[in-house]
Amino acid sequence: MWFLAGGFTAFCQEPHKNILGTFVLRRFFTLILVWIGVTILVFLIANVVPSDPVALRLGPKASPEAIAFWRHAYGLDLPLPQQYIRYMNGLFHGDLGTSIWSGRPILSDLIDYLPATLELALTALFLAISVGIPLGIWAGNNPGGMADRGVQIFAAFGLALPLFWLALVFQLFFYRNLGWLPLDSRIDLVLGPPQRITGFYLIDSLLVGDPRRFGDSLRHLLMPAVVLSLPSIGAVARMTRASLLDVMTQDYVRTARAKGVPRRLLLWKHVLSNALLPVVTLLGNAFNGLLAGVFVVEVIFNWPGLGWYATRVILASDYGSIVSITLVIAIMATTVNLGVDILYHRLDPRIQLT
Amino acid sequence: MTLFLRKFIRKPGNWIALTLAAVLVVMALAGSRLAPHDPLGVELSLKFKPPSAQFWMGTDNLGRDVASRVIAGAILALKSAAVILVSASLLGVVIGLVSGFYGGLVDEIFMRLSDILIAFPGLVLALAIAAALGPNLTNAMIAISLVWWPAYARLVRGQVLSMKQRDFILALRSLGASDTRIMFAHILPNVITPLIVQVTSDLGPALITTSSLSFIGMGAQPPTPEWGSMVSQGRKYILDYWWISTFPGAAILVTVLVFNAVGERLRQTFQM
Repeated sequence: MWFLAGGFTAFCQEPHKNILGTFVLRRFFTLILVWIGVTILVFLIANVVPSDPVALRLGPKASPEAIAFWRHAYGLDLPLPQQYIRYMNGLFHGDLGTSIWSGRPILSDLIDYLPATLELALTALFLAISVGIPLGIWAGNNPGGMADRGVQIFAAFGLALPLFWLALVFQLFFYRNLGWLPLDSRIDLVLGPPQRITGFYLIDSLLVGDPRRFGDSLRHLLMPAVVLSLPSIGAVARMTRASLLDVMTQDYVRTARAKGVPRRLLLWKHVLSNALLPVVTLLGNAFNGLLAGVFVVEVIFNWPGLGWYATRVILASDYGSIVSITLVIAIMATTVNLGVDILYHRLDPRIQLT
Repeated sequence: MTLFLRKFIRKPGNWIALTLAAVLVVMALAGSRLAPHDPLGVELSLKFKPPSAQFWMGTDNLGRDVASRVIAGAILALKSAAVILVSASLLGVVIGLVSGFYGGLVDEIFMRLSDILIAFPGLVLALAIAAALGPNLTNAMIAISLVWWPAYARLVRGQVLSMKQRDFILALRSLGASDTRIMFAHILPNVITPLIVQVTSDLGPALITTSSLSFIGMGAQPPTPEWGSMVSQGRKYILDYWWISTFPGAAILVTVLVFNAVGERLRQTFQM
């Protein structure tokens, strides 16, 4: 498999006109290898287990015959490589198997839970960018000042806060003490979810033209999204600040200043376009962090997404679902990282794509 | 290294960070001697007592003293973070040295494996491994170590690649030194400083990851006074008895803040 990748890499190093196209193609090919690697890795991990999911599901009173029957039905009595091939075969046909925890096809579970996670993680990413970058600019533009100190302290706390604890403190403060925001879940139970089109409550309620559900799901989204984004806001602000300060010392900035470019124009036009490049790279990492944070945040806010689903199937030793969830997370993380690399190239064509 | 230490102790801020870290370590080591009550002592008549002079951080749903449990948790937190970092860096050092030194197929296999591990959030994979091994603190530590090494392996490998070209390695080879000797006795000492800096700044993140696993229920199990597990235990009562979860979480925050500061300052001194 790896030799194949090597050969393909050599092929791609041939002179080509469309560098970006080749790059995307090559990276996509490696991505598929990474995804296959992930399935093998997680499949192996999931199958060295001492506990039997069927026995767990059927309870202590189940007869050995019943357990054997259901083990056979789920294909758990086959040798490992055969189970894996069976799994991969199903995967290519859009069949991820049946969740032992929910009794439903894993694919329908994923389709139900994924939009909730995406809605949360993307909102948090949006917050990280739209709050983190301005904070970083503000701090980097006044180095040593109050704003700078404040942002640095904020970033230090953002990186040191355990999310599961922050979530609880937020609930305590904004729900119990102030009563501003709802405690948990995606939408008011009495109101009920909007008609399902995309699974994103905000988008669906907008599409149907339902301002009440839109407002209510926004209120529910606010607390988990802010909690989830705080570490990333800190990281983005810190990176923006450091990068800004770094670019400020470069020769071309000094030249521009010497020839009398106004400070504001210098910052917004000349400095920022270069200073934001490292921040773009950081966003890939930040998204990885958000995907990990989703696991604890969803549990606390009773947010029916992948993280919430994962903790339930893990406690039920439902390994088929665990493999699928891990694969979905891997696909999301690697795709976003590829997107970041492409964006990086678009922003700075000098960067060599490798 | 001595030059580096001299540079490090010149700044007063570095001193403060280091002293705070030392205080935390000493407190953790003193542990049970500092605790005013038994961290495991159940006393149902004293349950849900708010913070007072007798119980600084109140008592939990079983009447155990939260302060004593937080103090007892310190050594557990530091120990598990240290064990994870030591085992992950040992793995990383061996894999990085071998990969960088021999190159070829071995290098290819380890680096692709590290690509896969780096490709997605470590907590998620650690969760899957911990679930497969069975939920307890030791398994959580094994799981985290298994996903934590790639960063170290890459750091070491990078250093080895540049070190391999140096003349003194050629000289050693011509003197007939074995590969193992060259790797461990001559290359390793030259790559160890950046590794130490990296490992130090990872102490906080390792602690947060361990306690997150415990919080989800895949790490330390009750009644172990592990901070993440304590926050999880108190979660049910958070709206009425805020102190049960708040103090253990604050302990995590303070510890991670201090160790992140030390790591950050080491990094600055070393200009990494």
